[in-house]
Amino acid sequence: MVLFRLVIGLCLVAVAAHVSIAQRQAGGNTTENAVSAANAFLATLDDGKRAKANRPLTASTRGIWSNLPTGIALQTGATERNGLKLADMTPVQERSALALLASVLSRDGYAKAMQIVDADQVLETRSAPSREATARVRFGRGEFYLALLGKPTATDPWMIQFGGHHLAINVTLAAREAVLTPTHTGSQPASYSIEGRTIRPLGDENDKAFALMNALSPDQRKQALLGYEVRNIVLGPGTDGRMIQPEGIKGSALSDKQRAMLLDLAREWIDIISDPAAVAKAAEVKGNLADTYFAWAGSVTNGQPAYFRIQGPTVFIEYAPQGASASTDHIHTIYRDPTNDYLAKATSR
Amino acid sequence: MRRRIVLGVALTALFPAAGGAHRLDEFLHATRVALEPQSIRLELELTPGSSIARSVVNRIDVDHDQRFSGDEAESYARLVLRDVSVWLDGTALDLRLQHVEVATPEELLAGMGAISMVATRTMVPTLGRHQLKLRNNHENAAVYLMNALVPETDDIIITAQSRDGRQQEFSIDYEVRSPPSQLWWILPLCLSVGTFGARRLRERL
Repeated sequence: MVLFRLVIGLCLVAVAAHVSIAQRQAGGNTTENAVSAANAFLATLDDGKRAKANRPLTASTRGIWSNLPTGIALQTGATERNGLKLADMTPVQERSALALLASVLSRDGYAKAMQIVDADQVLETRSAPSREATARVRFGRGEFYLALLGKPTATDPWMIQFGGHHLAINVTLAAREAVLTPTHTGSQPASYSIEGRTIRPLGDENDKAFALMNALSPDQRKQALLGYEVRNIVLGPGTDGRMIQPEGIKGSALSDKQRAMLLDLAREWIDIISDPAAVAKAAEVKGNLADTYFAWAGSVTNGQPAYFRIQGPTVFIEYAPQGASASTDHIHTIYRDPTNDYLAKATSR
Repeated sequence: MRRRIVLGVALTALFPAAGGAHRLDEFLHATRVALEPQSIRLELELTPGSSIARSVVNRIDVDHDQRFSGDEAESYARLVLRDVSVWLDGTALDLRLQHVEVATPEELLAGMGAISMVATRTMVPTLGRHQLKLRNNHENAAVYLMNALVPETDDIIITAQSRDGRQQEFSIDYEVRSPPSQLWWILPLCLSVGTFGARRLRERL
């Protein structure tokens, strides 16, 4: 009987934990969960590591993120990312750091981030054997940094940054608001295998974009096509505060189904952050779809290189193949909100 | 001119472009154009691929000491700007270099470093429609990006943009409007003052 009660009790604890995790990932209070996870992470660190991991939140510090690998000065001139890199964390610290990241991302968003990290580990494995011992550039999982900017509180603004080569997750939280912009995702290789499974971190972005482009009529496609080569994202790291003129086909010229496809494509970035922030952002973008532009450059055949851009009043997304002949194996993207990067609306109140 | 960042790091071992890490045989020239009420500002960012970066490094490092001095960075920036032609309504404009930053030789050779510069031209604003045209003739083997930034003032409206297929040539049609807010309070004020003054004069007469 005692054993039976013990088993029942353990089951109840397991269910409660599962519900808690599910609730955390389904929404709940993102900021409170994040504060809790942040404090738990900071508690694993000694004074030296804590000072490195938790920096002040300023206009200068928040802009320190990049697509570039370790060993290259970042676009803002900083020689190192904010925070602690995974290679400098103990296993307990790393688990706590990733739990913090998971507390602000959706399940799929966290999976995408980890797939990008794994892609960089593949790149490291491939490149390390031929690298000179004195070369400073490094790839791989250990070179991804986690930083807290500002004091984690349930009221005042603070940030979580997680990034490395081809990844810069920037989540700004204040009270019950949270935003993911600006954020960079990228991948090289764009496709790799782990345990027999093919992983394409940005595969859905690619496939949905080609599906949308091929759903346009010839006349609509003509409006969407930029008519010139685009070989990189325009508003990548280091271009905070800038916005370019919109081009392409306007949402008002799309059918309801095409607008739904456009929103579904944008949600590959919007839904990286957890609910309810993602739900709120998606609703906002949906409300502005008529004034949102979709632009394209390159082939319309999936598998060939192509650039695309989604630009609306509160959303800016670019997807660009990189390198020689615009390789499809190396992709950069950027996700911004011209009105509210770094939760500017809340921090200016 | 703002102080340049002098990057004088000695050249270390080359980083091989393993796994096609970043650009290889391309020299990317990205230009952002800002139309401001009294000036035009160009932000240029040049990123040579690792396969061609050696020639760029050699062009910057004229004394071959394997470091970039401030003077070398500035000289190279001026060399680039000489190949960038700008016309406003058909009249050629000279650009003034305001700022240049150059990555280290190692970073450029890795295909990941960039040469960034800002050039401006001051103008007297005139109301009405205008066309700004740019052409970048530096390094014909380059790949180009040209974009207009959304103006920071509502007084400038960009009405059209066009590029050639390589984005080597770019034109921006725009309109400069008088700020309506200024006229909004000036006109009634002038009318009120004029009316009051006229009435007073009539009373005296």
